[in-house]
Amino acid sequence: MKRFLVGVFCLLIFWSALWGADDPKEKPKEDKKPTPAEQYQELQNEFRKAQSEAIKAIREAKNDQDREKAIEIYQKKPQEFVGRFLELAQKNPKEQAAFDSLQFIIMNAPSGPDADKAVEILFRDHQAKLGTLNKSMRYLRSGAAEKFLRTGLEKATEHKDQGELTFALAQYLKNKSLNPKLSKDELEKINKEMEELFVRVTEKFADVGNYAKEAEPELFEIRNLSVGKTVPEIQGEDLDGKKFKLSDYRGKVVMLDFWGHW
Amino acid sequence: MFPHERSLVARLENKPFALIGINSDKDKDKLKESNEKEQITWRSFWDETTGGPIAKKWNIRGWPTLYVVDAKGVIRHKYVGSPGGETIDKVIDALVKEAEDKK
Repeated sequence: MKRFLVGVFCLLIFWSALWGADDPKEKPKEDKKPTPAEQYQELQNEFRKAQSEAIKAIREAKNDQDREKAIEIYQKKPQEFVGRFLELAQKNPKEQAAFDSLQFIIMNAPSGPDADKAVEILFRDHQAKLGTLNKSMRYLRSGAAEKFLRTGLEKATEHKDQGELTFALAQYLKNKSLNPKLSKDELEKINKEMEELFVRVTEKFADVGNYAKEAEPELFEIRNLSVGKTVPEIQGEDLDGKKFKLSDYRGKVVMLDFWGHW
Repeated sequence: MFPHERSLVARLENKPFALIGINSDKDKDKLKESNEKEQITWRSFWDETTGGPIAKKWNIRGWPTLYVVDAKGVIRHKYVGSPGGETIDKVIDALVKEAEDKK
């Protein structure tokens, strides 16, 4: 088998060398217009470079304030590239490069016309590939992802897709709820819809994947661990094996820190 | 994280405040050793692993996760990932003041 593969490999090299030699038009590469895939790759490279520079700025920040600013710049970095990815997708809407570009937009763009356009092209020209996208959406926070999930849920006719998207949208809202800058009203609104969606997963879609089971701890968290709730009791042992309870500290402000050395 | 927590605990030593950890290190002996080295004096529940019973019940998906609870036991702030020392100081000082004013 190995020898066979080596043989094929040699043949390929030989063949491509011949082919290259036979085609002098190929030679001055600079003249050739890059394919959509190459354009996409180039844009990705440029984006990654900008991103690693932004990360460097976070590491080099001297105080909390500088650090916060650097983080904000880093978080907004992808948005600077949305326009160019969208242009690439609009020029070659049916290509794989368009799908990849639109995926970048869905992951990174805030809500608005660019997000709407990206969602429109995805559902128009890439329907068949959308299933794989649904599952990755739940880790996102972008406005475009929300638009994508809500549109998908509206259009879904299959029970399985509906269940998957309901869970993904609930998870998306969970991520969104973790933003410490949300107002109390915004947070309450998000929590309410999130709870409804997770409940729907457990009631209507218990037969789809493992989602109903995954929804349970989320429901516990919304109902017992949201801002404004009375903290649940913790009973356990300290590092010396001595038993103690969280309620021993009632009357004091407590910061609970889930931590470890790693 | 640790240097700020050390200063927070020292600064609020005689105030109605406690920092309580829920620790997910597997090796308890090693953990005690590094606690000593890093002067981590505050108490922790030992949860054994990141999938320990407390972390599991609390649906913890990221470390550190911080919960700030007021003197009455109501959750007032929640952070997945540290929001930075200045923010922590600000919210805790406000709640400590609230607790002292009510006395």
